[in-house]
Amino acid sequence: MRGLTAGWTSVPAVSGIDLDIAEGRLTALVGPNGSGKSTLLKTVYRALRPASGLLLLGEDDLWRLPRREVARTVGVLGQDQHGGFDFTAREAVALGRAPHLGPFGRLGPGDAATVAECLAATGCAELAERPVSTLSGGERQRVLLARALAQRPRLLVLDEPTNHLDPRHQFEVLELVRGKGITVIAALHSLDLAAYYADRVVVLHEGTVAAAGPPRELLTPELLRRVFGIEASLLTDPVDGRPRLLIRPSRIPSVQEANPS
Amino acid sequence: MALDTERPRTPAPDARPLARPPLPVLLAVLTALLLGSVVLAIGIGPVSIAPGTVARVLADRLLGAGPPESTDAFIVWRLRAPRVVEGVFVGAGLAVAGTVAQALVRNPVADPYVLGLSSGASVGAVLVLTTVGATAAGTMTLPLAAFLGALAAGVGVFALARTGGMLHPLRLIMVGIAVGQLLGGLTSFLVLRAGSTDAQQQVMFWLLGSLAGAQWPLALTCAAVVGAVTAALLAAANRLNVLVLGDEGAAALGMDATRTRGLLFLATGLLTGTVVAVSGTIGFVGLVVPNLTRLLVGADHRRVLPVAALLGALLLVWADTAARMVLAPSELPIGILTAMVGVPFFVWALRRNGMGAA
Repeated sequence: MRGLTAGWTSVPAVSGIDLDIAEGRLTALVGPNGSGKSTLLKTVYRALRPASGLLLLGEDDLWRLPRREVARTVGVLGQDQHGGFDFTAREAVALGRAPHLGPFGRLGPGDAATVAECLAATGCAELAERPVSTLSGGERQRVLLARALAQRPRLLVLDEPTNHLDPRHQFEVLELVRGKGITVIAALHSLDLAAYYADRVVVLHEGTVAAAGPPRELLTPELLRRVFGIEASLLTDPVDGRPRLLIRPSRIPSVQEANPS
Repeated sequence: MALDTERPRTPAPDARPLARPPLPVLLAVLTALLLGSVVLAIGIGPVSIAPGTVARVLADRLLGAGPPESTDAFIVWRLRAPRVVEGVFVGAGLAVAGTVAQALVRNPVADPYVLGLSSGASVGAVLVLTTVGATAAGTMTLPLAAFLGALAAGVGVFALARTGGMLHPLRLIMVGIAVGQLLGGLTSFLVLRAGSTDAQQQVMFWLLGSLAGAQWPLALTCAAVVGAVTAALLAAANRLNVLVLGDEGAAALGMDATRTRGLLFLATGLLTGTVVAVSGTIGFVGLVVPNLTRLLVGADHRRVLPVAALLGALLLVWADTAARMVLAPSELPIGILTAMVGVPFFVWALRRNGMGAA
């Protein structure tokens, strides 16, 4: 991304973004509400045209490629994609094949195999014939993930994929997409999940990139205080050695202030 | 619609979902039922004609050969066949237009009339009925006026609903309803101003829908438009599936939702305009048949469209037969019958399924 500016109104939600997304890695996008995470992601899957700037996918300008070609490269798990029409899980996942289908939209045997494979990979095989409206929140999110995978993307865009999910399902979704050789950009609300899973963290603040880098170096108490208005400690998980972030509200006085020596 | 509940929504305890038969079987059965119904419906009338005779006359006519016209052949081919054939395509057209309208606005309570097209057609038709009169107008004037009215309303709704190059579903419904109300007021004004009870009766008949004016040229025009648009929509059925995911969902799958919506608006406008022009505003088919079809075969439009077309045709053929026969020799407006047959059946299917169609 080069000098990207975008937004719904004349006041851009994000501006002057310069970012490189590392191939095959998980990049977490974090930032307070309204910092422009979703807006930025929408420009990547072409739901919102940037007012200025350039999005490069390899060598190509992403907004000059044919829409269907982009959809064959970029898979999306969005915030809310339920229509008012009750597809079965298999049908919902099969829609992920839409950008690959011919003019009459018929699914070939190869497409059906891909759909079955993606259902199995996300643990949805038994849900295949169930109407999506009868699934629980976690099951639905897995079905939507299966759809995004059925697009066979090189880049997977996840817009707050763990919203409304219980802890187990939050881990499950991120485990499923990590280390598959697919490049992942995920907007995450949980800083701890970002610290734990991301290869690289990008912090958005008021529509610009406040900082970017590996979680262990980046998520300093100073940065988190400035951007999120919270106190935080970056720890190392005693079991697996990965970075964890412990957060607390900023109103609680620090130990030094409470016990003046 | 958000993922805020971990608790699966379960159907009512005694509800079993309707069984879903394989699509080819279902289509074959429905096609056979429809062909049988056409033959039977042509045979039913003040002069009853055996199904075998009807089939023979139809076969003779369609193959171009045949004995000189008997009385039966005249009744079958000149009087009844155009009307029944028109019923087939009006029913199919309304069901398909309803299916598309519901996908277009992402709402299963939409019908072909929610976009204001029928109100436009009504103004056109009522203008002719109250000024010239049905008899003086000639057979093509009324349908033509209705079609032009629908077209004008469609262009108006489309132009008003479009903002900043976007066509939003909710805005489309709101504008459609608003324009519909405005044109409905205009229709009422035209009827009251006319003052003659004769014209008023004709208007009421037209507004409730009737196939009584059917003739071969109208029936064939209707068949050609409905056939062509339905075939195009069948080829694009998966696009309807993607469209119901909303703008962002569609974008993620490589579709420009606004452009697709524009094309579908055109398709449903052509269907509705044509059907309303030949038959008036027949209610309930466009709302009930798509929802009933989804209960039967699920939400995939590749299945919904062909099944809805056949079910719509079946419903209308029998509703029209009843419209001719219930108070024979006088006719009932068909809208009364589609409502009285379609709605109870739909409510039954809805309750049996335990959940809404949505």
